[in-house]
Amino acid sequence: MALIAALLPDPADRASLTAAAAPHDVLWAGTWRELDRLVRVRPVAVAIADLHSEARKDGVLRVLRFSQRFPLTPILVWGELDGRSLYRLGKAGATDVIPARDADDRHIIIELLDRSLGTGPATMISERLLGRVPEEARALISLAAEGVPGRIRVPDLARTIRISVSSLERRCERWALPTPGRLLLWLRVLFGLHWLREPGRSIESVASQLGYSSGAAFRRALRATLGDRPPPPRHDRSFERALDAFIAECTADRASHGPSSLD
Amino acid sequence: MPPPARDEAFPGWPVLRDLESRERDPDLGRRVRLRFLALRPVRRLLAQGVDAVPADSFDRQVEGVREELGLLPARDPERIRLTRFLRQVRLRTPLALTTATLDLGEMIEAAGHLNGAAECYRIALEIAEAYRLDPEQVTALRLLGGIHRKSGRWDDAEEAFRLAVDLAHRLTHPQQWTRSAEALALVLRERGRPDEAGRLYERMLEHAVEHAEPTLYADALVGICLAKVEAGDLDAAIEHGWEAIGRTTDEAQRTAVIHALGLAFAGLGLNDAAERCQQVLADRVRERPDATPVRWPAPPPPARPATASVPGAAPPEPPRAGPPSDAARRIAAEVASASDRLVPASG
Repeated sequence: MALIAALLPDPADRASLTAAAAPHDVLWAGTWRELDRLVRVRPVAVAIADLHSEARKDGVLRVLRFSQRFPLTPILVWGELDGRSLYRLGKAGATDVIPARDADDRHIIIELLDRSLGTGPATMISERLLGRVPEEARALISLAAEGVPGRIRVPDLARTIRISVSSLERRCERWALPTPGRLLLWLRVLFGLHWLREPGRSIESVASQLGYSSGAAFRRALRATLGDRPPPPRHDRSFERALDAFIAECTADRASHGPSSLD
Repeated sequence: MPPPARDEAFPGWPVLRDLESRERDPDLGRRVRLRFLALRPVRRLLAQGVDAVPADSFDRQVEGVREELGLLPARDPERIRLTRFLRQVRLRTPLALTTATLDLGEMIEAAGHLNGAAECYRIALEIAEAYRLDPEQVTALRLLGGIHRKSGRWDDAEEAFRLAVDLAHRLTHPQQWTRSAEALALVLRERGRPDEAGRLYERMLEHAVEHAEPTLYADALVGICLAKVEAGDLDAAIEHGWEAIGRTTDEAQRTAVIHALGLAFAGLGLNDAAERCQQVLADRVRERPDATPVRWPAPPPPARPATASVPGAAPPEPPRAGPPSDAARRIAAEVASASDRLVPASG
């Protein structure tokens, strides 16, 4: 389940999006500024905005600023879009458009949302694990990753797959994965580093979204996973390096015992 | 803001690039927007799978675009073509989608809007690849190569034409192979590689003999003549050109060959024949000032080192070579004696 931030003043548009967005949650913004704030402080996976939501404001320019501040957060632009707007929106970094005529078509909106939601860190992690851990293990990690924006904890994870915490621990051990607690620690670190690649976010806001009390607490989590001298959080390669380290930790025991331990 | 790369922009955006520096042109804006909207259902089927999109949703989307066509006058040729396009798209078969998109691309290209045309050809190519429509892949590659050529993207043009030639060869599809080979040969000549072009034309000649295609045979002869002039092989150029003149009735081809013969004769010092060729060309221009422009480009200066530089950049000079062969002399004598062979095929 993902968080969607939406700036849609028209009630019919809101109803349309609500109907299509399930099971995801939608956070409503009243202005472009509010949309920005929502994305900055909440773990929003995709933003949607009516280009003409605020009169006398250049919506395309707002989209450009959004995509500059949050280059990894997809933004879908909704509404009456003439040729010039469409052209400018492409240059401004819009992820896709929902022309007014398509706005009441649930299937189209779902397709666009699915495509946009498939670009986040959960997908990247799952794709990297493909073929390197048992499929059940990969499924568990994917489930956990999807829960990170919702601040999932170990008992939540166990409850989601209808087993006890101790059973969950045994499964992780059998699959040669880190313990459930360490797994979630890693995933929070990865999400945090992914979000920090966006100039519009701060360490404090990211830490808060992940459930840490402060930016310092998040930095401690970085050291606990990446060692005493972790790479600078905003560095371009920090996320990639952390992902490599996470994959290595998930596959370390398997590597030492050979491919037969995949089953 | 610079334009994004195709894979960085939202799907279909490249169609809108034809608005570059003309954003405030309302008519063009309307047209380009309609093209973009018309392609969306096709992109949707490509992304989701032809059978995966719910029928009612798809039909509604196509109908929505059809209603938008009312923004164009009823008899507007583009409106008529787009209507036909949408009708074909509604069939929802990979073949219908591919051919409709190629057709739309050709319409857009004829309007001079290369970005939209290229996007149509790319989409058609993706569909053809996904559903293994090999002949349509060749067509899409060739058309895409043509766009690259017009846009000066020579490496991309050559690559697209080569892929088309290779695929057509594997399909043993003679017509597709011929058209693709012709296009590739033209690019090779334009890139200053007449020897390679000449070899390709010679393959076309063999192909024409094998499949008993007189028109292709004539086309290949014309190509060899022009390539040989560019490569500095003037005797061969004259022999092939003379035979080509005797076989082709296409006026544009004949004009190009006569021009090439004139260059070759001059290069070999066969000046009477060279002057005769110039006279014939001058007469043609006088008689038919509005004649269709030469289809084959006038041969660029020959016998220069082959480089991948911008075609046509060198200044025009007649080629220089050793003494002419006996065959070249004989042909020159015939030309200089006001042979009817050079006059227009129609009269």
